[in-house]
Amino acid sequence: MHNHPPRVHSNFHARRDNIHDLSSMAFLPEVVSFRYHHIHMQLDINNMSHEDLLTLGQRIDNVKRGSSEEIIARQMRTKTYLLPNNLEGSTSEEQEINLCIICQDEYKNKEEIGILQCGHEYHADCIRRWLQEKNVCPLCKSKVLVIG
Amino acid sequence: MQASKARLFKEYHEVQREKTVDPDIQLVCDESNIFKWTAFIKGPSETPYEGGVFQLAFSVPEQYPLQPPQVRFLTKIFHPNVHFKTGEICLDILKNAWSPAWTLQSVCRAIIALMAHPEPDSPLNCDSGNLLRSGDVRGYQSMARMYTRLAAMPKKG
Repeated sequence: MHNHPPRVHSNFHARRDNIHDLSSMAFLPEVVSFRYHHIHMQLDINNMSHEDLLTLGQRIDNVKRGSSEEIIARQMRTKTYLLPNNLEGSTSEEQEINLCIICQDEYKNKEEIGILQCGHEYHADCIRRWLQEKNVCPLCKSKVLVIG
Repeated sequence: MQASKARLFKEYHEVQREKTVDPDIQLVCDESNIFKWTAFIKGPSETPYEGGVFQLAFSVPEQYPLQPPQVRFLTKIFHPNVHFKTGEICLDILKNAWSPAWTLQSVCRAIIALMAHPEPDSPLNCDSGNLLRSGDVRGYQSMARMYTRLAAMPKKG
């Protein structure tokens, strides 16, 4: 394997703002552990194999493009789910519509529901976690929260 | 329970239910590991993959469904968007366009759709992509059909 120790390039702090210097991605915790020999040689992307580039691409994709908890808390409407009273009258198919697509679980009485600007609803906890990951509605892909 | 496990158990029960069973997809969960799945998908009709059964390997991350599953072909396939050696699949929903609304089963459907509608402009298999881009549809089809026969069909006695 690699017989040199993991080390970040000495001037990497100075280079943080240089987007073309891929070693600057080392400030992302996920990238630090990733094939540090590339960091050592400043990620020579021209000579990386297809697989290495794909792995790198996936690592870069893992950067969260979501919203902060404060923005979500400020902008997302919520409501409390109440089970319909006339449960006997409804068919099982009607009930199935009331499920959260993220966890695939049906809403239970008094659970907190989050409502996005597009009108789509999810468990508040489920959609919070997703919005921190990416700021789009899982169903219609519309940008849901205004950042800033 | 961990959110990813709970959701995978839901999907496990869903694929067992008769009315949701898709005749073109057989999804099997590893007996000892809910994060490892195998799918057998039928090559779509009127494509060079027709008549073949293709095996896919799913590796589901702990952050699922916030992160997409990793999927690759275990069966050799000649397709512009599938890496010929590793079986890796170039499909937006498995990368940037992932949404937690997808399930393992709907991902299989998306892969079947990709088999029927290759996108030669983002090739992982350049030979296959170049045939299509240069307009040699027959060349692409005969290569793809040959590999379907070789790798995705039962061997004849």
